[in-house]
Amino acid sequence: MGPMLRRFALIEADSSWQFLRAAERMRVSGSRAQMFLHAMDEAHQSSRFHEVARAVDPTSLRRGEAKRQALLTDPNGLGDFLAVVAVADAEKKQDYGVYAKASVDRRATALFESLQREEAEHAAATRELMQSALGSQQQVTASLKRAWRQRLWDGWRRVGADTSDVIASVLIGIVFFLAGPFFARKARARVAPSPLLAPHALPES
Amino acid sequence: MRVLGVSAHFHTAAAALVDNGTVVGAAAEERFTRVKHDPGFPERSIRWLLEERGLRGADLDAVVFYEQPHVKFTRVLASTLSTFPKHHRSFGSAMKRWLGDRLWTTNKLSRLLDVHPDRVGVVVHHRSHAAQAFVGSGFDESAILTLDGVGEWDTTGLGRGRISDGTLDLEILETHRYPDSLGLFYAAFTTFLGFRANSEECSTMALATFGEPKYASVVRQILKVGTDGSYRFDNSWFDFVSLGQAPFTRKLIAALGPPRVPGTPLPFESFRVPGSDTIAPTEDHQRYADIAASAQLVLEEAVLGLANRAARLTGSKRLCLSGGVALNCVATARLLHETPFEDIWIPPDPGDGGAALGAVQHVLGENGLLGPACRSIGPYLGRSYDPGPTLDMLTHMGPGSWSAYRQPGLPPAAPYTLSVERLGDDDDGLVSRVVDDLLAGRIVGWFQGGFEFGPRALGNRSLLAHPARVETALKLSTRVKARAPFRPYAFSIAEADALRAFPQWADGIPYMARWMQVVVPVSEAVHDQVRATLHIDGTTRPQVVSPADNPLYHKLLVAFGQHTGLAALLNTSFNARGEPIVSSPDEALMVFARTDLDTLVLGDAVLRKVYS
Repeated sequence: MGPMLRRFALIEADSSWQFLRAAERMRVSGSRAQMFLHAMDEAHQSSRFHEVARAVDPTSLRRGEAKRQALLTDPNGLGDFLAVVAVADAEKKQDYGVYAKASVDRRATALFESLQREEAEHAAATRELMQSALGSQQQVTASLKRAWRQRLWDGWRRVGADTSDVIASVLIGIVFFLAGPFFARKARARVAPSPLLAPHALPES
Repeated sequence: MRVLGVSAHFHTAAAALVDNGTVVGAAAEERFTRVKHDPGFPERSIRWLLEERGLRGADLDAVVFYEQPHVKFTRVLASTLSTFPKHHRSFGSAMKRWLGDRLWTTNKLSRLLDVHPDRVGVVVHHRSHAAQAFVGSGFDESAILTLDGVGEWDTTGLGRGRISDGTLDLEILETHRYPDSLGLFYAAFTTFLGFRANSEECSTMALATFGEPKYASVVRQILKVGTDGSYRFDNSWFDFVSLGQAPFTRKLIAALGPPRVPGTPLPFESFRVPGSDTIAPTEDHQRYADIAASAQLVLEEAVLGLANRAARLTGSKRLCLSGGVALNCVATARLLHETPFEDIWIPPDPGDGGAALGAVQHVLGENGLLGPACRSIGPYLGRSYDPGPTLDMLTHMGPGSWSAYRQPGLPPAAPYTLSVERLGDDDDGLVSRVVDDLLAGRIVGWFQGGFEFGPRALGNRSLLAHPARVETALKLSTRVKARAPFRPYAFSIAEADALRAFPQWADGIPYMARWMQVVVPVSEAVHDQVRATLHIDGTTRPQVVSPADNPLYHKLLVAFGQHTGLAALLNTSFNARGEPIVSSPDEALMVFARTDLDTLVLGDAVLRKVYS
């Protein structure tokens, strides 16, 4: 449970980072404020995941790895950025619903239920922002379709990457067990520490 | 000559740019990605360095990586194969990382920057560290010690540097090779004590103060220090391939007892409020502190041995130090009195991040291009920001909504409104308002100019508080930073008052005191004035600030001292729990909004929470 909650914390932290970067790109301070508040909200959700993760599994030191890829690099792409966010919010809402039902820890269940409600609010707020950024409902719909297509393509690529990762692991494993014994002795010799030159300084142990 | 230096893939990736002999900028990638100690490729740091100056890759004369990836790869191969078949998982994940990415780092740099591969070079890891340690010192000649986790194969380097006519003569006299590593030794104990390796070594150092080195004889069997100053590591006690998970063997557990479970409380406090309830440490808690004290003592013995050996071999009266172990400021403090060196210098970022700059300095030194500007390096090399857009944004966003985003676990905040005041060029007005707030016990976020290159907040991204008020420091620990109570704070002090706090420096203030690199006892005469910044043994890690180092911050210290009698302020890094130090005004505002930080100074603007 702990690692999963930490993974969600990372996802929310990444969303916060995305909104902070997006806020920096805004030329109008009102839009910047909206992006900033959204960033704070996502950071808050990340902290809540961390908090419950610490309560559920206080012994884990793993922070997890996060790789950043800013989604909004051009302020003119705000509509598309928001569409990606809306799609991600919708997916998170669905995921949190599933986890709320599946979770056996009441603290985690309460968190997932609460965040599921919040993601629904996020999705509605994001659509409003999209409407004002893009102007027409037609463009909003087109943008959302593009975002869903991108999501599906990213998902497909992830499956491809995961599959190739498994294949690579198997191949490397085969190489390791076939070739490893021949190189192990040489490797041991290379990493073996040499003796201390002046050991008589050692105190009695 | 315009040279870009890059470090990546182990600990705190960074990039640095030197243009015509001047360091124009340097930054750790974590400041842009907000991933603490981000070891990934420093793409954003590189982009900032180039874009802000209107440069493209084609404008660079050379790009240099801080180590040799192909040599490092042989060490990774050897270390995972040496225990065959035990580490098959580590072997698999390492091979995927290396064959898929890291081995081709120079090609990646060439492709990303659109630079011809001939212009992308590498410098040996410990030569990068050695150049980083020596060049910025301003010394013409010096002994050099590089104390690291591990580079390609080398873990420790002992050498001598000379500069004449802009040419660097770097002589590495001796090295220690993997697995004889002081950095990995200390990181492994850090993991044993339930902290994160390569990240929370400062917690091990702080915990050591609460213990006695009762296990020193065991630890001396692990790290054997000889009379000649050399050392050897016995790797039957630890398993470095598993560093970060459980790198200790049964032999170690049999000798020291079970390791501490991460996240379990450690009831030690660096300061106590009279009458407050404290939990008495159990036998196990005390055992952890004693183990920390033992590891710290043996590390100090090894560092002292190496430094004295360096003095003997080089005959130099000066020492330059780098590598992550140089951040152990309790160990470096002993160098001041227990070695023959008269001057000791550590760069602002002695770790792997700083080695990006070291690699550039090495290349320039080889080409006889080390001018005076490259020989005097300060810490304020990071990006600076215009706070204007953030302040404009505030007109569209009242603080009313902020309470919804408060850090979980904090008690509800008292209701407040926000006052914003811009002072323009009126530095005196700005300083006077901040001093008033500090005197009133408020915690101030101080955001000025470019962010610091290196792990310390030195007056450009700092949280400041009254150094005598323990209750303010406790508030800072519990309601802003969520910091473990056994970790002490430190203070900045104006140069003119430094001797009152540190009379032992009557012959001269050491270089290491400029950037919080040494832990030293504070004169009892001023204890009451800096009570909240003292560790339990009456020591602190000071920053002695001169007007030349940081004029505005110095002015603030002096103005504060006019009211309290000592120009000192509690200074800690401006960040929230688990996050890197803030870099942009929006990030600073977020910490301000989500915690009990009372005042935020963004350039010339003072933002105050006015409590009702």
